[in-house]
Amino acid sequence: MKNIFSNIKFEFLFIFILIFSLTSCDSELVDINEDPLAVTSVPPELLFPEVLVNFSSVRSIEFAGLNMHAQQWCGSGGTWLSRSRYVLGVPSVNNGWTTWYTTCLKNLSLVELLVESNNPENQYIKAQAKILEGFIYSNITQVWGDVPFTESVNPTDYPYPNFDSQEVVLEGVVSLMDEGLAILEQDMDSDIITDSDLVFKGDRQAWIRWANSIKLKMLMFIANKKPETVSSQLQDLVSEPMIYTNSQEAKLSYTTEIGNENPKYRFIQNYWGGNINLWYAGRPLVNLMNELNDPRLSTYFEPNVNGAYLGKWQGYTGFATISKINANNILPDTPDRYSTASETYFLLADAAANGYVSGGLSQANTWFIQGVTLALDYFDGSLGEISQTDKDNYIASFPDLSTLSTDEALDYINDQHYISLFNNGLEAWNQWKRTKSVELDVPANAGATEVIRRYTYSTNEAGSNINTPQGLTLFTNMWYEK
Amino acid sequence: MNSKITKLFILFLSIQFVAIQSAFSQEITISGKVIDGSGIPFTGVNVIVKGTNTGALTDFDGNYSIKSSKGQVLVFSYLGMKTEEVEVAESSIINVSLYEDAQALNEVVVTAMGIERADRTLGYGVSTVKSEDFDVAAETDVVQALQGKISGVNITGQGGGIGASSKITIRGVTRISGSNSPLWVIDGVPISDANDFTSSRTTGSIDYGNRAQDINPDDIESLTVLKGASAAALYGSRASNGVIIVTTKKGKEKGSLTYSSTIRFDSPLRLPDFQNTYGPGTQGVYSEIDGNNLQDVSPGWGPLISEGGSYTDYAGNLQTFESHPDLQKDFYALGITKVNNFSVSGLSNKGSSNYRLSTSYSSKEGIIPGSELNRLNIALKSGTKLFENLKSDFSLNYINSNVEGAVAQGGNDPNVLMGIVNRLPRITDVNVFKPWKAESNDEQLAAVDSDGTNNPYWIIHENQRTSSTERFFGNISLDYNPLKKLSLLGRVGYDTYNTTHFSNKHKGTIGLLDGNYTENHISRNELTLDLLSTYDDTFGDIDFTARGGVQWNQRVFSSIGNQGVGLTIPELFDPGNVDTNIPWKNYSKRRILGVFGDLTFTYKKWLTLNATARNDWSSTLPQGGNSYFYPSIALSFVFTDAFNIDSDILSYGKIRGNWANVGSDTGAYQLDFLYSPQSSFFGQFNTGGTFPFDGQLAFSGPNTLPNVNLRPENQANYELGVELGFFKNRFNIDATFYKNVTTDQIIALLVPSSTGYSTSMTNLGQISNTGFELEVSAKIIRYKGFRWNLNYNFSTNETIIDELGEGIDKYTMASAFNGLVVGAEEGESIGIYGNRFARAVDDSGNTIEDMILVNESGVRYEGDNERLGNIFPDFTMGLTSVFSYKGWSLSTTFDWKEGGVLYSQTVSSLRTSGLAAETAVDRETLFVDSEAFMDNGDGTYSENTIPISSVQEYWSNYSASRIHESNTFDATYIKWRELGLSYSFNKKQLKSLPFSSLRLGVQGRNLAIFNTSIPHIDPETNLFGSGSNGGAIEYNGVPSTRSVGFNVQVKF
Repeated sequence: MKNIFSNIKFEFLFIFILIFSLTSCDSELVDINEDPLAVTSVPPELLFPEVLVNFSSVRSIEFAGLNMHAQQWCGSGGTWLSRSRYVLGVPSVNNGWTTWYTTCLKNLSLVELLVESNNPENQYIKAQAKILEGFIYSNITQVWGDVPFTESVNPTDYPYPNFDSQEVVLEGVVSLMDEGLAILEQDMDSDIITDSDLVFKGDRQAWIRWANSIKLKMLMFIANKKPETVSSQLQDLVSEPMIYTNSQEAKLSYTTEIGNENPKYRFIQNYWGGNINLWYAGRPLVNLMNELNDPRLSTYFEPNVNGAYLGKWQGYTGFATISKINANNILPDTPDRYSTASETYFLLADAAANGYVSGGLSQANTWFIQGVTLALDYFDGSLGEISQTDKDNYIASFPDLSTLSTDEALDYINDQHYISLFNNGLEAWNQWKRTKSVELDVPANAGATEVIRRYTYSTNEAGSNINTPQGLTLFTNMWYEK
Repeated sequence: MNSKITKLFILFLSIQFVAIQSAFSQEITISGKVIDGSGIPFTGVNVIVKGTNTGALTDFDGNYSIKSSKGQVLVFSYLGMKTEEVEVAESSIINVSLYEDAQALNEVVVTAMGIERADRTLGYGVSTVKSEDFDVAAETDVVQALQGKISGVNITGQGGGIGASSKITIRGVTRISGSNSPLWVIDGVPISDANDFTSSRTTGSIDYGNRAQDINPDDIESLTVLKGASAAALYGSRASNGVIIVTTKKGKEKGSLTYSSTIRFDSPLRLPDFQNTYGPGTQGVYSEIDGNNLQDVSPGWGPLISEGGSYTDYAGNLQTFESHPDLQKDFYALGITKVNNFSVSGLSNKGSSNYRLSTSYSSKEGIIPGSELNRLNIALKSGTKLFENLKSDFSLNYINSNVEGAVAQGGNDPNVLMGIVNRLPRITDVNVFKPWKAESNDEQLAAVDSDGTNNPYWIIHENQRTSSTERFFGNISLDYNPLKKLSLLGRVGYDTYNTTHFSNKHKGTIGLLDGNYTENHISRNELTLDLLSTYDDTFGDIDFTARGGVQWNQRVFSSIGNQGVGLTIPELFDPGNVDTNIPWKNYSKRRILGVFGDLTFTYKKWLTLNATARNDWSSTLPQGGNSYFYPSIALSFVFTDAFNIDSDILSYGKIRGNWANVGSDTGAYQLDFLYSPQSSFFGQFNTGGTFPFDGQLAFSGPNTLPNVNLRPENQANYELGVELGFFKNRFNIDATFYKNVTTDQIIALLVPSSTGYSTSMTNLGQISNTGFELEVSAKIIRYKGFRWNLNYNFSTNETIIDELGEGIDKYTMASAFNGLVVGAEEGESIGIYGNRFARAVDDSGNTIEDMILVNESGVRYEGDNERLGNIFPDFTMGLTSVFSYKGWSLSTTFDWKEGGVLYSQTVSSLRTSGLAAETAVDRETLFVDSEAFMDNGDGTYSENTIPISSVQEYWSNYSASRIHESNTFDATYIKWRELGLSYSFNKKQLKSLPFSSLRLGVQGRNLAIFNTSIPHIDPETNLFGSGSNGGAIEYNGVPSTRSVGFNVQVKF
């Protein structure tokens, strides 16, 4: 018993010592409140891949339904039929909005902040961030119209950002491009993001081209509404470097590496074992291409059971004789194309035909042919490659636009532009909204009497921001629409 | 650190089991009579010699005789009566009166920090549940077992999902963000009740349960709920949600061995009412020409099944329409629960040492085929009085719990089962889904829909969803009395568990054809060190107790997991066998240091003043602002004693009141602006991928804007109560009124995404709870051996959001689907908000509530997103009745929840798909929704005259999931919660058997639901589980179960 007693005394003492030693060494409680799995500062380029990859994830799969809104695709069932019928899916709308504002724009603002606070001499990095930021805003406004821009991503000063009109946003993107260009056009001792720049790997000239191309597109949206204010800017752009060849295009390249594959490809793998199941051809695009005997029909679509190409009116069911989307367009390494060379030419042709820039219809024709050629050449070396004969015949089939009326010429230009935007629903949908060159159908079973123009605001935004505009519907025109 | 504790445990173990001694001396026969308070002889009273196996029962005249010796103690006990102990002196006759076990008498209650105090001196209300109450229905989940038994708590289960969580809140919710779960304390030591999860709730997640379910109800001696902050104030910053104190059983008598076994059978309590008249199709037509098939049409809007149309079934065979009314019944299995408890307990060393070792094994097969839970509990508790002034106690619990086939609820996950099973056409023979897998390869057979709906048996049999948990918790303590009036207690408590969540989608699962697996290893541990000194003294009429102490608490959480996507060998779940791995890691550590004091003055046993104070320093708050002070004061006044009221009518009366101020810190790492590395990116439809992307790493800034200026939350509490005992305490009333006001809540405020952040940490708002609780117990009949007791409780609590921050209309506490949220709005209780029907507006733009509008098609349509109702009930009550006669006992419990609302996705789905019984009523009859109005377009409205185009059109719009109003119902229900009948054999009957006691019982749980206005489902369900502040939303929940079973308990 004596022995135990001494043990007990020992234990007792031990507990007390334990308690006191633990409590006394705890004077700095603050020290343990440092997260071992995060840091308070990072090199800014590390944020870039997060921005690009998440941005494209929304464009590619979250908003894959925009291909239905452009009526280039048509959903035959499930989610995709819903999208054809303008059931947008609240989670999808919310994810798109939240990802683009928080994941993408927030991190870009942090890129600028980190440069400013750690290495203010690295102005090129700021320029890269500004251009990408502008491009993301251009996407946001093309989906939602009026959106927070001047007061966004600044929680300290603007906890409840006001929504800017689309006009302000489009002009703001132009300003962002100008700011970026002003930096990049100077030779200075500045780092530029290279490896983490998944678009151009730090090619300064490529960023200059892209900024000008984005600017061209924004100005063309504005020109639709108030041409006089932007035509001189457009004219100036004609002599600037822009994306003029397919190799210069701005895109996020997915790879065949698993985990880095195109999200649409991942989707058809997950659900349909790599086949196309519920994605069919949309009527307006197929009709247009049939009319033109477009050699890209077999590139874009599968022939139906009768060997023909047939598209479906959105919202109807019964797809036995309808063409499916050709799976060659949805490969693991199919890129997300941000800005293309053919787009540059089609926009220039449009500007010339409209007289925003000099050269008239004959200049328009030159640019038009260059646009079509680049659009056809894009498939060179891919599974959808178009033979030179088909290309030549197709190009030969167009009249010289200078022999046509302005409206007729614009029809040709914008139809070709629309066709070239296949698999890029966001751009194709907005090309239609801007030009209405093709006639879209009002979907069946959608409770609609109009074609969709914009998405509803995120319920998270509407629920937390008292400045969210009310009364806009899916069918309220974009500001830039004629 | 840990190894030191282990060493300590081992050391203690060795000390606890030192010599076991018995003492013998001269035996004499003692006899006597036992009567109850009203002088009536008491039959069947258990008389034992303390610390021995010697026992006797009183006969019909209340007489007994027993062999004992001088100095030993006789213990007289009977269920529901206060146990009496009498020391054997010179006389061989001992007569005893047994009194009702009224809580108002001298009962001792375990309060904060494990301090035992006489109930009559308490200035606050507590509710206690005793071990017998857990026996009645032998429920394996301790939280569920509390249903209907006590006032002031709100418990919501999760239907029939195996191992799913049970949410408990005490006196409403005190915060709109962050945890509202009470603190669980076992034998003085806080343990974790976390509801760990691996993915988001809404997108389809698996509820693996909250960890309070690890507690073995059979080990519980008593469970006390400290409801108000005053009662819990000594726990400081962790007191604001109330505290549940569990005291486990310890050895009381000399060596006994108890074994009990329960078997129970579970079946769905309520299945939807399906129609069995119409098959799949659209507008009454089903045609497979033009490429249509089952997956393109609605499951219930087709032609009459009796017309005998033909169709291609899921397996690809041509079939004729034939009704299968028992489709769902055939799908569910009979659930079987088996619980075996075994314990050895006793006293040794002349009663100065006690020990109890118990093991319990529960196995539960759920109603979802293949779902099961197996749990092993081992508990060891022992105490030794080493010297007159030194006592040591030790307890150790080991739990091993495994769940298989847990069920996913919610939306997108391909594993969500109920959405599939409840949406099958009525012509489906459940056998069409067997076999579900091709023999030759891993291809799925008989899938429901290639756009994402799998064969239900594929999900059950090929896709695993398991969790396995291993847990230890326990404590060691030393209680040292250096002076008679001074005691020092040192205690070390430790709780640690590791749980592994595993799920996989087999190769061939639609939605993830290449398959994946997810493995998440979660570990939590909590170390608590207490040092408590107590000084007792008496000055004349005043008893005085002073306590002072220190508490140090550390909580560590870590998880490490991996999702492997794209399996090469189908059933090899190894990171090397997959195309990509997405690993993750989480960690947090937090500490609280608290210093506390407690002063109690009792004057003449009838007036007690208790004041406590605690100061906490938390690691989670900013330096300089991390110290906060919590005072409380409580007064108890037994006026019947003070004024010498001693009447037969009013036998006991006490008034009590208290005030306390507590608060709370926040989670770890909420202060700094942090960049975190990203291992993956999100993509809808499981298309997300991994970083490095094209060789490049990615980092991201935070989604929550941190705040370096966070302050601790603050909660003020007031409580006033009265306890009355009538007719010699045969009728007792305990009523409490309380109010608590929480301010400066630490909230991750949902901010507009356009700010670049999803949430922002801030202090804001004020939320108050006002409530009333009533507990009544009545011993209605006491006649010879016949007894009838009734216990009734009533609680009502109103939670009001007094204030949100400036510019905040509504705070979203949890989001569900299509804009349906659980939210807080100024001046309102916490509610669900969703889309209502469009309504007319008057000239001044106000909504006219009674005028619901129809569109051009004559059907109602979606209007604004508005409040749909309170998520909490208006009141709850429970009633327990116990009849006993000799060895028989019949006990039953009902509980009633009145008010509140529930949104049901299942109802929406059944109605829009034409499967609900009501959709088949007058299906061919077109009608006008005459209660609705038409918008004339000029600001006027007229009665609707537009006939609907079809009944399908009507229901698919009326009940559409985007219109939440029509799928939201009053959540009122009454449940017949428990029924138990048992028989305890008496000593005479057991004479020839080796048992000292034997009890047989039959019992049932969740036997029926009454008075509910919600169709098709049991309203007691909660999509969000116990870890979220969400509630009142049902989404593809597993039906709750009714169970019946029997059990046997023997003691040797």
